[in-house]
Amino acid sequence: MGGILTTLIFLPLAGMLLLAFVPGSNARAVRLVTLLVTVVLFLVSVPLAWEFEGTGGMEFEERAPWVPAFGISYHVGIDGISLFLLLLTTFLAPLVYLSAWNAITSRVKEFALFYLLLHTGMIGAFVALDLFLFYVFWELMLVPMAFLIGVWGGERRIYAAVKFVLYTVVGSLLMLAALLVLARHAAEASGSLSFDWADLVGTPVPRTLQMLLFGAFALAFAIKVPLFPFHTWLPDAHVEAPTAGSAILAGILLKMGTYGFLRYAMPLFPEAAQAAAPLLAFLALVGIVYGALVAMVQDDVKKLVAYSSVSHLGFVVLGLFAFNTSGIQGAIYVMLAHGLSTSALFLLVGVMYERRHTRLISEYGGLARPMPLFAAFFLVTTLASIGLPALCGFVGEFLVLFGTFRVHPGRAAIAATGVVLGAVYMLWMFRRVFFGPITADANRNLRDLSLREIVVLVPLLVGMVVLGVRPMPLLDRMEKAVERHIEMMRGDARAEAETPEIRFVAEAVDSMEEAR
Amino acid sequence: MSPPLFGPDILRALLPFIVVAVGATLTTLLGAWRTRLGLAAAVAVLAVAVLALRGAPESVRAWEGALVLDRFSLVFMALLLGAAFFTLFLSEPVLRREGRVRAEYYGLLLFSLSGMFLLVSTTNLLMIFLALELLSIPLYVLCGYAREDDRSIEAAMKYFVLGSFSSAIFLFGAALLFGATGTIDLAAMHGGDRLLGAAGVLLLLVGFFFKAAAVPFHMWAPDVYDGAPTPIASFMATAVKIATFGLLLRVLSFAFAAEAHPAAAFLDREAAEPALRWIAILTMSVGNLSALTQNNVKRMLAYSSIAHAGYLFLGLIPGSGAVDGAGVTYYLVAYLFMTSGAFAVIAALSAREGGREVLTVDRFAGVGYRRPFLGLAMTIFLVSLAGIPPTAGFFGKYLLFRGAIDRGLTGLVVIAVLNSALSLYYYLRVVVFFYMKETDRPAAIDDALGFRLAMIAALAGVLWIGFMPDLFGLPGIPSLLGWVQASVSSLP
Amino acid sequence: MRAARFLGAPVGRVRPAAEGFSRKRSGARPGPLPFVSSCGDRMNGYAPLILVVVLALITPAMLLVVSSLLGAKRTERTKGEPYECGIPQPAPPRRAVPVKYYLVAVLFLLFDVEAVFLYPWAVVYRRLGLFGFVEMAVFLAMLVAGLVYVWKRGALEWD
Repeated sequence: MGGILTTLIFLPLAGMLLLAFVPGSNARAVRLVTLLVTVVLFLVSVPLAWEFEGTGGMEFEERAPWVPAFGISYHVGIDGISLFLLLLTTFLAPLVYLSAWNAITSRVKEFALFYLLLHTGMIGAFVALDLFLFYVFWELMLVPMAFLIGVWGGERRIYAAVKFVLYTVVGSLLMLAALLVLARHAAEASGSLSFDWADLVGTPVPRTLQMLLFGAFALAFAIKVPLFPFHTWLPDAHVEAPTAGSAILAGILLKMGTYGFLRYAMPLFPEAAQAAAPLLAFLALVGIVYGALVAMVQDDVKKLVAYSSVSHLGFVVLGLFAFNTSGIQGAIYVMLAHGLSTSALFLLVGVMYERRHTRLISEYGGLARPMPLFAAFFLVTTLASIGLPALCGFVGEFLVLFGTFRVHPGRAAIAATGVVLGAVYMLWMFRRVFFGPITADANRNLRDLSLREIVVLVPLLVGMVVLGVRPMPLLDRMEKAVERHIEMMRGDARAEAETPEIRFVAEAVDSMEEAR
Repeated sequence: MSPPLFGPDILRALLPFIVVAVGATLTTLLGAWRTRLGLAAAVAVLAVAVLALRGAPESVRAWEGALVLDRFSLVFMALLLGAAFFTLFLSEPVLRREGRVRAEYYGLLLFSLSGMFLLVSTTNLLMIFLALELLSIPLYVLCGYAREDDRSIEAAMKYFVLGSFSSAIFLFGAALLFGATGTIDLAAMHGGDRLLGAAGVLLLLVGFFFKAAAVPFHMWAPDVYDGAPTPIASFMATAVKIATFGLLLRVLSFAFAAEAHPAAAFLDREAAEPALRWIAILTMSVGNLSALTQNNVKRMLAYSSIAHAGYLFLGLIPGSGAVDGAGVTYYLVAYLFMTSGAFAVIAALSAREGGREVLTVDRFAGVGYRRPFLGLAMTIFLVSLAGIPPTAGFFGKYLLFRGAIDRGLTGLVVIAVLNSALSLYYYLRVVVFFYMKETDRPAAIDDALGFRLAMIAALAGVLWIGFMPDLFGLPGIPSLLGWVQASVSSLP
Repeated sequence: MRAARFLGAPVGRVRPAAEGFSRKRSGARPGPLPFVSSCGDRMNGYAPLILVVVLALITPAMLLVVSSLLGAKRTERTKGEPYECGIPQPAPPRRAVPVKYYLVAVLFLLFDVEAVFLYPWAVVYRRLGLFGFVEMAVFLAMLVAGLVYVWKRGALEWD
């Protein structure tokens, strides 16, 4: 029995093995087993939150040789950055599966298998500390996600699945080539081939080479984020994917791109990252504003949420390339908040879709009357998504804006318009769906949330509120790791303690809560 | 002091060839009496050949390089035996399904195998020619084995005509080289007349490239693979490729050897490298681009095998180092498993309707649900062919690409990588039909044991290498990479 | 020893007789062979050969071109027949020949070549010794196996 992280990686695989013995015709048994596995997955990961010390270095490290001849090792560990993303993953796993309880009626067993395999890939990618291992898990996520979209998706599912795969693969294969070049470069310096993150991070790379390699890594991650010109696969994938697929895609998979920037692309190639920062920040800004504007004119709720993701992840990238503690902490916080609120939004849209089989805003209206509980849940999630204080969205966006403002006020100003636009399109959508007269007769007698749906949504809501009112425990645990990353990114060690501001923000939030 | 003409060592070294060649003769003879025993005879012959291979000495060089048995040839012979076993698994069910079980089929297969054995264990031009013919002539016949199918006949005819041309071209090149250097042993060639030598090398390589189906000598491959019976197409895609690349490796490692080796003068690096680069780029790109538009899965696999030859060429370009024998051999191991597996699936799906094989991809809709294991296996084979981890194909590519980057061929690697991304599209297409589409005319699925055994064996290989790329755990092969590296240590 | 010779021991270099060529050869070890290169004065050795080839190409080409330009062109039915001799053709020229004749031809070729191979072997038989004997025995055994197979499968039956 290995450590917690190894258990987490291989638990879904063990679950797949278990599922192999459950007859596919017995859908109920398959669902129960899968739910059980995902719940266990979450429970196993919970102790990480308490036992984590926040030293800034890697914790829960495990190391084993995998292919010594190739310089590849099985090296996993988490720091303050990956901890929360990992917890988010395991937290969403049972909830999202439960949400798909009735939505997935065909090929239930295959769905469960791919769902579990996807989790092995995601967890592995978050905890891997060997670049090669990371790459393996990164690619491992691809196949099950493509199947989730392509088999259980909407009408144009195959197009969406193929597009998703091709976009991702082009980026990641170039990353592989860059990875090999980097490893060779490091091997020339150190004399032994190694893909270990710690070994590679310390290797100085000449500037031109850095630019090329950073370009390859950044492309792979930018496609995944997705950053502005590479985002076109996202609306297709989101709209066509089944609800559960969209929730995982928005909640976890998109974070893989920004996490990749933070963990790999930026510390490995600090000079190039600095040099490319204006460009990436520009793209992020375009994404924020463009995503928001496009979201505003959507007539399909799911598409609207999808474009809002483009906008939100723009904030993440913007925060990352501020190169200061508040910016990066904010970016991580936005990732977490977005993971909760957007996957909740997708699940809520799924609830609507299951009842009416349409996602067009014009088909709805006045939904608050037949479905008051649903409307309440939807409202809280919407508010969290647009960054209302005391809900999760606020802290992250605030920190990002704060961090960006310190290095580049202009960027912050533009980004702030994204916040405003976000409020516009979300609230407008909310008004059109839930208020006003009931225009379609079919909406008159819609069932409100079932117990199962409430069970799914309550933890998410609790999460949004907790993240909104108690940011300090999370920020504290991130702080050291973020500072360490900043040091790695700034050769000249210009890293100054930026804690006061963060304290200030957090305390402001806390006092606001108390005042209430 | 010349080495002895004959001795126990030489006999032991010859034993694998003798076993296969005599076995081929006897198996063919069986066709006149008990023709249904062909498979049993072929399996017996291969089993004895395995024993002979295990007992073979590791370094014998006799008769002016006509017989060169070293680690390299032993490893390639082992790979060829593996390919032959896969082909046998596939053959019997297909022959039975079509009512063509005959011992001669297996005899011809074994004859071809003996040619391949020779091909990877000689440096003598005459012997190479002999081996090439011995390899090809039985294949010409086997391509046309499905006599009632026009396309099978066409395949045989095409392969025969073009194959004879390539043999002739090779022979002409060999003659010119002999004229230039005065010897037909590649290992003993010194610089001779420049013009004659250069022309000779050029023609020689054209002959080899034809067999390897490298662009621009690839035109025959799709038609021939498509028309030939599926097990034979599999044999050509695996065994012939392995044998040809074994030969190419040997020849080019002589040609590109360090200046100290007398054979170094045999080929000009400055002129040959760009040519090889272009061939590599063209082969992978043309293969992949053509595969994109194929609706027939067998043709798609044919083009994909051309593309894989392109990746393999990466390992043949010395760049700032030497030819990457280990990378090529390792890739061939991975390639053997994944290609054999994919062809096994195709063979299970290639029932004839009105005398013709029906292999258009739309007929495969829903196969993944009708036969979960078959669908899973095909998915993994295709994912491996595309080079997605954790599969054998990924580590094969990894090793080739890493080697190329180490030798300063980063640009080529980027092209290869983009090609891999391209290839994923058409591999994925098959998977899309397997799982995501429906049809009212589903293809018939043959559940014969042979197919299933081949799939299991191939799947085991693909996944085992995918998860344990180095540890192999076979008796005699504790480490796959070590095995491969040791094999090329006997090359210059 | 002799067998080794046969397979490619130094058989003496085949060189063009041109002067400049051999002079160059006797110098320092020549550099690598290029695929295509300007060979400078070495080409001189091949010049007559190339001249002959060129002449051989030009002459028939010229004859064909000139005759097609100058010759009279009359097309009649009789002119289209295979034998323009005034006698009507009794049957289509491309008649099917029974496949058995081909078989005979193939078998004849096979055993004929075998015989051709036996002659030089017989000439040097004494020098080859036991090794040569065994080798030829193997060769003949293969042929006999083929013959037996063909016989058994009925390929030698005429009807």
